[in-house]
Amino acid sequence: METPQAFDPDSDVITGPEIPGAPVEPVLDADEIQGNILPGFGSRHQVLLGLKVVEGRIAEAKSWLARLVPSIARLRDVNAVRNLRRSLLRRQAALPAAPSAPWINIAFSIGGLRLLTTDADAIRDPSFRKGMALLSGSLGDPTRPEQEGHPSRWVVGGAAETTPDVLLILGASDACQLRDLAEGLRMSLAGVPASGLRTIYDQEAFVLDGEKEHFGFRDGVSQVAARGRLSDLPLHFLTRRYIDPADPRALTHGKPGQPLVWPGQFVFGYPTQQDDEGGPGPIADGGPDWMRNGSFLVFRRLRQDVAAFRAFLREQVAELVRQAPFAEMTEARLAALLVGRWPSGAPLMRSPERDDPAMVDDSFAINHFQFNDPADPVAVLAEAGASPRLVAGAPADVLGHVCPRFSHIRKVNPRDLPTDQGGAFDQTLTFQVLRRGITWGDPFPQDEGAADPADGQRGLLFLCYQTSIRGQFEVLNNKWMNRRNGPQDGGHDLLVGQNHAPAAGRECLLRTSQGEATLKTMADWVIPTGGGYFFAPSISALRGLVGQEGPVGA
Amino acid sequence: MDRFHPPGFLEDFARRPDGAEDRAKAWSAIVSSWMDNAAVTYGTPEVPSLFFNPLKDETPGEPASAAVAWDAFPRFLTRWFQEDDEPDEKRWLAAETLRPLRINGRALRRVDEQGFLGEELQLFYRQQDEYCEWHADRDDQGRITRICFSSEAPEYWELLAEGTRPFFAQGDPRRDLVAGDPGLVLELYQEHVNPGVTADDLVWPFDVAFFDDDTNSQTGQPFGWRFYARKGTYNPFNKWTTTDGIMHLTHPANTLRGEFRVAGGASVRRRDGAGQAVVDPEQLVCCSGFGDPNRSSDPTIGAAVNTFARSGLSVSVADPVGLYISELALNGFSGPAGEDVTAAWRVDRGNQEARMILRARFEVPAELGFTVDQVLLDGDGIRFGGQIADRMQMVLTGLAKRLVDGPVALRACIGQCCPHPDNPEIEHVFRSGVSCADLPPSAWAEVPPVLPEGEVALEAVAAGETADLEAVTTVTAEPDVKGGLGSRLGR
Repeated sequence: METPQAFDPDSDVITGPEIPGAPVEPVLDADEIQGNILPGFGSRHQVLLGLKVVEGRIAEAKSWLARLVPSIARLRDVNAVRNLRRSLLRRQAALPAAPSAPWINIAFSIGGLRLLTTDADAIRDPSFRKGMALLSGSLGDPTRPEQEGHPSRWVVGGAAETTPDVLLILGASDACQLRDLAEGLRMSLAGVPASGLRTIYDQEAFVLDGEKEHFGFRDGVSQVAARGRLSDLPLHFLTRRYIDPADPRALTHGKPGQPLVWPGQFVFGYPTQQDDEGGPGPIADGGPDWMRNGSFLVFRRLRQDVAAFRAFLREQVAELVRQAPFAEMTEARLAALLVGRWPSGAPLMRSPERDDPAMVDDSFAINHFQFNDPADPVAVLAEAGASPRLVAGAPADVLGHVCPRFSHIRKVNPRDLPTDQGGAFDQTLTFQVLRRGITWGDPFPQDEGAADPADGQRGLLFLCYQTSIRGQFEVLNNKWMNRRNGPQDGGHDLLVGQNHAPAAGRECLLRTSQGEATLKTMADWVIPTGGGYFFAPSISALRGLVGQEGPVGA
Repeated sequence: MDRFHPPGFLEDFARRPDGAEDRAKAWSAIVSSWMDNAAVTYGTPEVPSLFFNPLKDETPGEPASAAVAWDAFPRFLTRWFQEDDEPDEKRWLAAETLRPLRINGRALRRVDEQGFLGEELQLFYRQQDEYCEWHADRDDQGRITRICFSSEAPEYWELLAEGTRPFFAQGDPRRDLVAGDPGLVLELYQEHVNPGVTADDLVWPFDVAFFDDDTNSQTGQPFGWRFYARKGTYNPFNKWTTTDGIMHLTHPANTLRGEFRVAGGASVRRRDGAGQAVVDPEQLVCCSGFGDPNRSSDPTIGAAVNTFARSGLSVSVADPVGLYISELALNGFSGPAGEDVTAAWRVDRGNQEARMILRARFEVPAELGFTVDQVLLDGDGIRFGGQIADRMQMVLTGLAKRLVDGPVALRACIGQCCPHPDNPEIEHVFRSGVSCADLPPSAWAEVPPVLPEGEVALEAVAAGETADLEAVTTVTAEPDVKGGLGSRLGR
């Protein structure tokens, strides 16, 4: 077969232009890495099944899991369907629905691993070994048992007996396909021969219209992207590269505002991101050899109290409009200031005055901004054979007068800002995670005052992959979202941050060039109702863990 | 604004009403002199300084202010031990292990009444270099009874004890603005550290000297033996602020002069070899040669200051000048039976509401019936102050105002960083033009993290001050001999 030589945005094997001086990226083991880690299912419908090994039935459980192994979706599988879907979309093919395949991925808690291997405790990450429930206080969760978010009241994961040994993530873009898959697994788990596993958590989730979360904002607009290739071909990158090679940012970004991160930040066995150089860092090593091609999965079941969030906006705006600098404040604008983006996903940094829904279709512009220094215009190779397209730049906002220092997108991804951790852009990338969250529960009624058929039961299944829970998720959550002065001084992340130090509450300082005002609340509108720390092994490690290739770590 | 106030608006001066106003004026004069010095030092005849003294700014309008935050636990230790099998244990232990004090690598020696050199002095400082230091008090059973945290600069205590003499040169009328009040210092030590502190504990019992091997440009020879301190003057490394307690900061980099070196150094816009502005926080430290790139504090403060300077704004430090403990995140702490231990965090000096904490302690109220080591943090008992420092943040407030017209030219780097040969995560600043590959082992051998006997601290590495790139080729941890606590001896 003749290999195409020139970069073509439609190609699936030449996925980036040749860039002088670019580092050689490692080949990712696409048959070993689970597909929700990379590239991510992206499924519109998902089910989470939390399973517990029945006491004394470990042999049956291993046998059942062994039968599941061939069905575990790999990077290669998910990427192939993604490429097919992408190709059809680019051709604007008249299909009734995008191609869909039913996916299964699997992960184990420390308790689950201890049942399957003798060296589970050789895993180095102390947070993984402790588990989420024990660390709940440090995660900022409520500390009194009478509070809804206290671990003793969690739906899943709040205590040893409610923490799954095994977590299955099922996904499909077609609801019927997913239903069939989930039903089949449920029957098998409950059927004959005995699975040795009982289901302690069964959660359905689906993407809301417009890919919005329940507060009404488009989610998942900005993600870092993993470096790495899918074959020995030099330009066969997992993450497509679009920036004109003449621009030095082509070395560090896939698209404008989409930084490239060495894959060891997300998958063990690959080079990590260094916080001072663009080149590859040390190989990610989690402890036992069988962790290679695996990843830690953090799961938080969050309930979103939409009524409380809207009440806060209403009350704060009523206060703010009495102050001259904020006389024009609206609930929509205040909500956008908390998020840093408008409901469509358009960032305040590029559209400070009003929402710009058209921007969501321009993936080259929607993330092209920085906070500390202006983002200069950038040329991108958007179409095969066409001249590069110039994407306009965006001004900086050091003081947070446009996109406040407390806004969610600035708190969890401060981009080029110097942070309390001592670094800026390169170091900030070392804290980033691959987010794979999805909403659960029906949307909040649109009509003011209408009854809520879901009775407040809706929210987000926050899921993310990384190679250090302590050094990635917990930095973002504990040090940045939950602290008023991390990564920079300016206030708590009022959207999703927590502060359950006794009688503390959350506050932030809204500053514009005209004036400033303090926003403060004791209320919670994002409440943890479950979760756990898990490890998603490679396919071969999974085989070893369930006994297909002899005991692991003996 | 008519003066610079004491750190955190402390009211120590008011304890001696007769001298309070003079002492307040003296402190303001000292801070103002540092401001003036920074404004002069960081400009050239061709490129104006972008550091300004707000006390002398008569242009209309108030400067913008911006708080800069960083983590309290030493990032250097976290980096150094990150590949260790027990990274947390080692870094917490190292943070509380005192390090022998050396001047230019030499120990301080006693000078007897006849002027002869006596024994080497056993003096120590803490390996805590983020402007926050702590000391754990233990009872006779080894249980932690309290952990005291301080962000108080030694210069303030030098003023209290010695007056203005150490701060100004011979002939400067400000030198005699106010005399020291050792009694006031003793009173504060007894109140906060231990009632058993005596006046003699706080002063040098004899003259102290060290060997200065810097070259005297006039003779071409080393300076030789020099006095470091005179008998009866305040000893900032006394046992009640090192081995037996804490009153103020002891790490040689943890000084207000150090703060001005960072803020002043970062006010200079720098260009790299390709002519591009240096933006990255750590690279800026390396290029400009202020502070230490391995810390959280220096790169963060420098980058924040330099961001304003790159916009053409002049920069300064807000009154009252200080580097403060901002807050402790109290979530995650509980008593052994789940008790609320919020009340264990007590701010003793400074202002908690304004986030200008200068001294605080973690001490469980007696009525709760348990000690600090029984407090649980993520399920573990508290064995080190570092476990608490991990949850603490520091802050200083910078100022920015447009005072210079037109763009200010970029200046070339005066320093560069070299990675540690065995631990490239650790970098240190050397004079520009040094060949990293040709550095002798001694360049790295000076200051490894110290652990108690029996613990191995990996490889040796230099850590610490980078105050004077022109004079030093290797960087070692040492008091700022030229401008710091030893300056009273002159040169």
